[in-house]
Amino acid sequence: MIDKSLFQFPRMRQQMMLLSLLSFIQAAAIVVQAMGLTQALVAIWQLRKISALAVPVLVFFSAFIVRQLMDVAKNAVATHYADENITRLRPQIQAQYFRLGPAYLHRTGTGSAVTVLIDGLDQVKTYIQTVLPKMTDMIFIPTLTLIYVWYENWLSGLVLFLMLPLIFFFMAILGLAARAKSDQQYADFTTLNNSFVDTILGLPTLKVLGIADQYEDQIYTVSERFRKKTMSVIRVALTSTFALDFFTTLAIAIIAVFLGFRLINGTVTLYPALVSLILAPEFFLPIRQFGDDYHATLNGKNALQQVNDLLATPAPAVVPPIDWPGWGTDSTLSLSGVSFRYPDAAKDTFALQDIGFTAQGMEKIAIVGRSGSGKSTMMNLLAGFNQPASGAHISLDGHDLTSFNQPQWQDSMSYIPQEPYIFSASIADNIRFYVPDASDAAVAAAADQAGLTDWLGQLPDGLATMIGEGQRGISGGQGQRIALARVLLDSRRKILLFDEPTAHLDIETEYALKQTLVPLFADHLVIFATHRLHWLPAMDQIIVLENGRISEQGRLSDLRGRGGALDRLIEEMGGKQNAVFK
Amino acid sequence: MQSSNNKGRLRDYLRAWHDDHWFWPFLKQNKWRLSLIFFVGLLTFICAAALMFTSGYLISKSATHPFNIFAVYVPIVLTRAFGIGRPVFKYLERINSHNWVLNVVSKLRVQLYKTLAKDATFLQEHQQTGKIFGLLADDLDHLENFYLRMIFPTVVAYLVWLLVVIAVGVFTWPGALFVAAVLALILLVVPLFSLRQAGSVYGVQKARKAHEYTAVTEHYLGLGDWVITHRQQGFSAAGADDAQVNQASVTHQERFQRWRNFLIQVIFGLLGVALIFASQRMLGTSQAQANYAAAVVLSLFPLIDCFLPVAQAMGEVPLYSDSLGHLNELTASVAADTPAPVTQAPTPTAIHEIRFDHVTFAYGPDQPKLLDDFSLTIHGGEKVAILGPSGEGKTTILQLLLGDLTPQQGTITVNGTPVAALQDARPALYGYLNQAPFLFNTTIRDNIRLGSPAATDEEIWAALKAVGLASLIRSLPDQLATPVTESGQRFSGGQQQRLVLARILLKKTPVLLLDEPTIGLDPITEQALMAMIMKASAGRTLIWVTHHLQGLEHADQAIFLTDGRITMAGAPRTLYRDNARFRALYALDVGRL
Repeated sequence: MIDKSLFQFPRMRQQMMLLSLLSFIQAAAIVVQAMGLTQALVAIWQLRKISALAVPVLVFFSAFIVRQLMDVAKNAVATHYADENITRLRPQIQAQYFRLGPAYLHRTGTGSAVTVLIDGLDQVKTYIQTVLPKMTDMIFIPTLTLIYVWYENWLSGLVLFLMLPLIFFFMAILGLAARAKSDQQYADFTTLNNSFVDTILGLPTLKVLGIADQYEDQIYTVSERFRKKTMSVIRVALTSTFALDFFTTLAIAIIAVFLGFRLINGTVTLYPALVSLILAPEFFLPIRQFGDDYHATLNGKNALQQVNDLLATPAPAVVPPIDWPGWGTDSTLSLSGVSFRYPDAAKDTFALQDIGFTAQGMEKIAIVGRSGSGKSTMMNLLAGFNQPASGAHISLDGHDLTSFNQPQWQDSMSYIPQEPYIFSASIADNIRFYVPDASDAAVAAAADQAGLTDWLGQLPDGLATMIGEGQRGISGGQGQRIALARVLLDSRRKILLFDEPTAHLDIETEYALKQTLVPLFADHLVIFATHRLHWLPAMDQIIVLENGRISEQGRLSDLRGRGGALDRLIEEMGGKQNAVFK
Repeated sequence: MQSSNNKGRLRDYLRAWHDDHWFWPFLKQNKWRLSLIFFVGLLTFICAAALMFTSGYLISKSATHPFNIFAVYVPIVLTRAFGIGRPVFKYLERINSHNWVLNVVSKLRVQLYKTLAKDATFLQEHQQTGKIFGLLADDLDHLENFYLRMIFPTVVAYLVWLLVVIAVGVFTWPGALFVAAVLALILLVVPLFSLRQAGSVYGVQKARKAHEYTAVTEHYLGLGDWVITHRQQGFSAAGADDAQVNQASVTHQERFQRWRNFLIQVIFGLLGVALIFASQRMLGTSQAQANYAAAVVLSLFPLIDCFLPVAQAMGEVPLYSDSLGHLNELTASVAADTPAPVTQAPTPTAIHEIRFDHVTFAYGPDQPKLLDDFSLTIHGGEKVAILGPSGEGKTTILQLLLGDLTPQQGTITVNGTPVAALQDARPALYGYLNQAPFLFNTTIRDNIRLGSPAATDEEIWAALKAVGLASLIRSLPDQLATPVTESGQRFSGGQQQRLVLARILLKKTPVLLLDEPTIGLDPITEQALMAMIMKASAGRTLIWVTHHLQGLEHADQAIFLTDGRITMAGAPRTLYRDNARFRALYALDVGRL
């Protein structure tokens, strides 16, 4: 229930001291409250005048208020501390994702990364604010009440004390049973629950197949099976609550009966007997509450674990700045012996192996290959998102780099994937992403160069049109053009990395986009990963990738007709078809 | 949603529940069983109070040194009985309420399924996202909590309230009135404030949270661009203002809840004080009566556990109300969308002609026309490719032919019968592959033979071979028994598409409608798959929407659609021979160098 990493949180000791103090005051208030109440009741029993009640009732009510105020205070302290930690962790998580980069996010899944940040932190907050006060309560309240009850009537104290190991014993046994049971059923449990969502999601399919009606009964049957499984898990959990309740009430009943006998014998008087009875439920309350929330805090504990794991993941090193003016017409980049292995892949299974090539000035380089040949991995490496394995030689205008995760290199390049980054804002602000202070005129010029003018003309608000989630939808071709305008606006970015920019576009959109793109290549270094071979004539150098290795590289005219990897690829990708229309 | 706009007034919630199909019917259906559960819940608190009552009496009475043990025999037995009764009844109440609620959930699920299945338009509009279905399933979960966390504790608390007032009323009517009024503060006034407070922030918090999700997701998707511009601060700020505003709002709400609970406790404490004085006045006259003083006062305190959850539960009403609102809106929209029944024609045995006759379609009066006076005749056994920019009505043609959409003008007929009269025949007539292929979380075998349950393994393997997945699946240890895992995540997008295609090919329908069957595949796979589709669809009528020209050499007709009209049409060979634009596109697509 308690995660050890909690104790490494800043100011934790201080908070625990404060909460302990509050719990201690509360425990004292509980005892005083019981004393006041008991005295009042004894006074009534002794048939004394109403004035005799004034002091005890005042003591009771004041202590009662103090006790409640302590609850408010503990809750406020724990909540504030939880908020403080969430406020501290949120930027840390964001910064960590930033350092780990897009390749990492892609591997873990954007959705689950977002969940860790938003839902995860919410759960961590609930966890911190619930578990801390409960811990201090459980230490101080039973201890103090027990001491007082023992002092007033050792027999009642003994009964309470003897119940403790019994309760813990049953809690442990049932807890273990519940865990074993849940573990055993967890797989079934989730499968059955997801089964409904699955069927609902698949409803259009079932309807098309004409079998939607048959599934009505199945939903009920599966849900009922789910109910039975759930009930058997709930039954175990409830049995553990039952055991706690049972021992608590049993202890009260035993104390009452014991005390009854001793009162009749005259060995005790009413005050100690009654005060023991009143304090008995208070003694058990924190333990019961601790048990009740066990399952509720489990999620928070797991979420905290996830956050800790994320923050502990080593981030790739940033290559220090170099004395380099940026990419120019006489710049040279050369790579040799560059390999890459995914962190979770088996040893010696490289996604890229022994890559080497040289790029000069405003050259156009195509990287071609089948799906899964390593094109995207290579583009991610060139953008600095994937880090090469040791032994790589990268030389940029005479500067040796260990990876492309280097500020000036990244300042000179742009990476355009299949689905470029479009965020909820105006089209103009989307285009301004690299140069936030660009003038409206410059934005309009870049948009025009990227071939957006016709489309913008149809929009009533032109460049001010809002796009992104919940706003105006844009097509794949328009997204590419916005990304293109973004690069054109930033004259420092002379290196263009494209990763399959047109693969998902329809042929006519692709054709139109190509007419815009090719002239813009002129004063840029272009590295273009694609399996659409029509781009090749626009390129100066072709690199053919097969299973993460370069199988052929050179000029298109040199490679054609050699019967090598490129010829094979061309043949497989379209050559057979060409014959049909001849 | 209407229910999230309100300002937390009770009547707004009551209005939202006025025309309800998802909540009251189940309460009404099960009144007796529910009454029993409420009664057991009531017994739990009666036992809790009675335990303290009898214990208090037992001790007070014993303190008078009665003649012998038999004077306190009855309280001793009762103390034990109530001591055991409380946990037992609590256990029974919890078990039965959970069991009942889960059974209601089973019924609700069937109801949700039936409601969704009724409405083709709703499915059509939302099937691309799938998100809304997940949200509706969440709404059912909220309804489950509505029963467990709201209805059961609140009803039991009100019953205890009634019982306490009656019990006090037996001795003193003014006292009963006083207790009723004080408890009304705890059980009515404070909960209503709680509801108002929660209602005033619920909508804003929900909107902020949704906005935070969107902003963070967008930034994460664009992380590459943030990294190469070294703007860590800008990236970290994603959704930070939403998180901050929500945190402030939640802090405020938590402060409200803290002091609300404090207030309830103080009221309760005052009630205790009043009870002490009242006991002195009424019972402090003789020793026999005074023995009951401790009993009466002590029995009050266990009841706080019963009353405290009411205010908390009331604070959750906006959430439940919102979910109930969604579900009832769904029922209403389905009722509105359900078309008038059309007399159904028998399933055609063979396809002679599919005809679109001057069809015009738009989603609404102000929406662009996706099809504008569109005519097309397809003869049985023909293969027709439909091309054009995305968002230009290619998919609409398939949906109109299925009968999921109805045109504003024109008719669509199969062998002269309007498609509206072929809805019963539809599953036997069309095999349809949409853009979002769906795999159920079961084995490959069960997924593929979904449409034809009698299919043998040989037939399944043949279908898998036709889509080029046979060798991959043979290499898996469990072969056909391999689970595809949730939403088919074990397989890549292209592989999922092909598994679904195998399902459709296995069902030997005379017409195949394929929407972008090769999207996301590399040209080699794309070409191979198109060849396989052609082979498997021999003798059937095939209409496929595509964004590439791969496989076009197999088509009898190709149609290029722009702005809802046909801009280029004909047999591909003729087009290739006579149309320069087609030749240019074709050369581009096959990568002719």
